[in-house]
This record gives sequence, structure tokens and C-alpha cells, in this order.
Amino acid sequence: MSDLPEFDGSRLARERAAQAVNGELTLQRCTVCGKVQYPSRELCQYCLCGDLIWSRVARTGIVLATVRVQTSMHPFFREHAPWPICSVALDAGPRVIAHARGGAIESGVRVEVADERVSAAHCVLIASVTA
Amino acid sequence: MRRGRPRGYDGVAVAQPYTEPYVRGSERNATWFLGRTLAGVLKDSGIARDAVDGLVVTSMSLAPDSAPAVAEHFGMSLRWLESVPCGGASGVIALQRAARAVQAGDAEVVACIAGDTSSRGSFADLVSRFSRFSMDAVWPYGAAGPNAVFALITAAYMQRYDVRREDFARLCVEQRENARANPLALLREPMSAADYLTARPIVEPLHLYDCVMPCAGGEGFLVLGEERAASLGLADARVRGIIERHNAYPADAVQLRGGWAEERDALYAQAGVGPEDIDFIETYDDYPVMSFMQLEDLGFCEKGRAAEFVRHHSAVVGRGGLPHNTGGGQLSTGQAGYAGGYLGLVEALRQLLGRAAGRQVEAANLGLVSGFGYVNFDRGVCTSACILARGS
Repeated sequence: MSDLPEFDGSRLARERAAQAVNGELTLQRCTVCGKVQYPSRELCQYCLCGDLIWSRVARTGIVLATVRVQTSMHPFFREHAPWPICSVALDAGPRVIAHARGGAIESGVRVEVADERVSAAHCVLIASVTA
Repeated sequence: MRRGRPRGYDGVAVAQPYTEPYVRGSERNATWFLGRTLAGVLKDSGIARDAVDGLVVTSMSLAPDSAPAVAEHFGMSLRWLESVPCGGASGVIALQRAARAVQAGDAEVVACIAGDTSSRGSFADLVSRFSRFSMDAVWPYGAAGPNAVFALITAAYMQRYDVRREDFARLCVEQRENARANPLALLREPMSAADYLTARPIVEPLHLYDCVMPCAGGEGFLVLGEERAASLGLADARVRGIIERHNAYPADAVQLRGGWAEERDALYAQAGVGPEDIDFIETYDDYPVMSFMQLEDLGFCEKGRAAEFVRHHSAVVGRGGLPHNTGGGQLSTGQAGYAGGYLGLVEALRQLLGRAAGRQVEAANLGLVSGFGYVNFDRGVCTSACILARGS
């Protein structure tokens, strides 16, 4: 997957990439209320506290839906179509959209979601079926 | 939670629906489409451009300009200026803002205009940088824009409520039948269920005819006092109720309902009518699954039963069902950026003013218009709806 394309992200996405470790899941956690959130925000959506840390969180979750990208605005995904992506409700709280490793994963299936580094400034989430 | 009912919209007239004809692509920018739309709503109104003292601007492709730049560009001196950036919910929300400004005396004549351009590559540029959440958390996963998000929602909806593509086909095909009588629609050739079902996949389960065609164009209307409208001899429609809801049900794992479900009782209470009294409906059809949800959440059928509803209530004008997206909707006319968020309202005004030649709903006295938009991450944030009545 390391050949995945790199995209411009926000400052927070670059910060997250800098903290991410392959195979782990690193998301924002509020130092006051302890909640985990994604997509990365400027402050905590639950208590509006501005003091957030990057934290290793549980990788486990359940697939909400899986689809296959056939028509993309980026040549990488066009070449690799159909490209499966899925939405996942993480046990840690947030919902994420992730690349689905190993083909389409049915909804309701337990998965692990982990970061995969594409470059120093960009990492992506990969969902794979829990062994 | 009990809350007070908002004041009515007495004394407010809505007039002069205008569509700046859509084109597949244009080298002109959004300001051109906004300006031609402004000229269109004023044409034959008896209102000089200088008599417009309020303006609502909606555009997705206006950057680096914004509403004040538009006012100066058009040489307008205004005492009230508003920008509504709520995507497909913008038309109804623009109407709400303008109606309240007129009622309060903050403005006398408000032009509500939406316009966008489209050119090769511009759609990908806009979509890839639509919002920070979408840049960080959606675009890297397939670079498919809103098609990816709505494919995920559609897949979840189909599974949860046992809905098949054939069910969506029925609505899409019927909307196309309505479009055939709409010279403003870009897609007017006949479409069969087989055409829909065998179209090429975009993001499965979405295929080509589940997705709107990006284009350029404009939509607009005027909001003014009823006495002013009468003195000018303008045919008008009246506002019976308006609701909006932003970021509804944030804890729902998948967006299988929208803010309409939370606000529909308030909407019908304002209007003093129920869904059974509505003569036609214009839903925001960025994808057919969203029109299904609007039928459910606005009370036309129970949750999860829209497929059955469309089987028994034809959307085609004159076929005895519930006329729905009477000009063909965005799925047939094309989506001119955020102007798509005004399209249903402008079409509803045409119906209520008796100007929908060839697709006129008979005895169109009450119309419901529903808006939806701003896909920031994994769902649309903004929802709106209004009930409009034929003027006196």
C-alpha cells in the first residue's frame, strides 16, 4: 500500500502523520474529557477544550458499509479500480473512512483500522478483517 | 423539547423565478452566471436594478470573490447583503433570510441569486479542496468526491431497508419523464429502467444515473412585500412555513435520516397542513437515496418505506400520484454547483405561478421544497424545507 498517492492535507493532518506509526492508530484525544475524535479538529468537539494530544487508540471497530470506487478523479485509483473503501465505527468512538485491505469487507464485520504512512506528511487509514 | 412556533411569513411575496440556462461547461466565471440570473429575475418585473436593496448570494465557485465583491461587480448599492453557503439547502434558507428581512423592514426588495460555473478540471479542483474534513478524511480514499460518501450511505440504506437498485430506477426514470417537458433540462432523452440499471458503475452501488452531471448555470427569485408585488402586478407565491436543521443526529452511525425528521412537525404546524395536503414536492436529488429519505423524513411514508411509496405514487406530472421533481430534478437538469440548491424552489415557484408549460401540475396550490447539502465528512450537514402556496 505504500504506493498510495499523497494528497494535500490540513496542518492537523500533517501533525497526525508526523505522530502516526505504521500498524497503530493515532488519533486526537482531549486532555480534559478524554474523548477521541476524527477527523482531526482544532479543539475538542465535546467540551471545546483546546488542549488535545495525539494518542494511540484501540484499532478495533465494525464496518458500516463498503463500496468500490470505479470512477475516480485520480489516476492511481482509476488504474486500480475497483478500489474498495469502507466506513467503520471505531470502538474508540469516531467514525472513519478507510481503504479496505483484501477487497470489499461486508458491513457488520469486525475490523482493525491502522495507519499506513505514505510520506512524512501523509498517512492513511487501512481497514483489515480482524484475524 | 417544546419551543415556540416562529412567526408566520405574512406579507411576504415570492416572485420572478428565473433559471439562467445550464450549459455543460463554460469559460465564464460564477459572477457571470450570478449577474445573468439577477438580470433574469428583474426582467419584466417593473423593478429597476437600483430598486433592489437586498441581495442574497449563493455560489460554490466564486472564490476568491464573495458577496460584497459581487455587489460592487454589479454596481449595486445595498442596505442588506447576505451570503448563504449551505450547499443544496441554500435556496430555502435564502428565502427564509430574505423573507425575514422584508418583514422586518430591513430591505424592501431582495434578489436571491445562485450561480456557478463549471469547466474541465474545475470540478475536481473544487471537490478535492471542498472542506478541511473532506481533504483530510475523504478525498485520500479514492478521490471520488461526494460519490464515495453517498455510495457508503446508499449501500447502508439499501441493506438496512432491503431496497434494490430497481427501486431507485423507478424514481430516476420518472424524473426523466418530467424532464422531457422541461426545455431547461440538459438531459431530456428518454431513459428506461434498463438504461439506468446497465449504466457504468461510478462508486458501486452508485452508477452513472445515480449521480448528477456537473454544469454551469444560475437560479434566482425575488422576495418583496405583498403590497409592492401587487402594485407591480407581479404574480407571487406565499410562504406557509420554513424549517432548517444543521448537523442533525450527529450520533447516528450512518446518515439514514436527515434534519427533516426532527423538524417536520414544526414545518406542518407552521403551515397548518399535513403531507396529504401537498400537491407536489421538489426534493434535493443529489442522489436518489436522498430523495427517498426526504419522502420518509417529511412524512409522506414511514421510515424505510420510500421504495414502496414510489411504486404506488408516480412522480410524473399528470399521472395521479405525487408529482415529484417536476422539472426532472438535478438528476436530469444537471447540477450547477450550489444553484442546484435553488433549483427545486425555482421550479416550485413556476408551478405555483402556473408557468410550468408542458409539465404544469393541475391545481398546484401547495408545494413542498426540500433542501440538503454541505457534505463535510461522511454526511450532509444542512437540511431545509419550506411549504409554499399559490398567491392570491
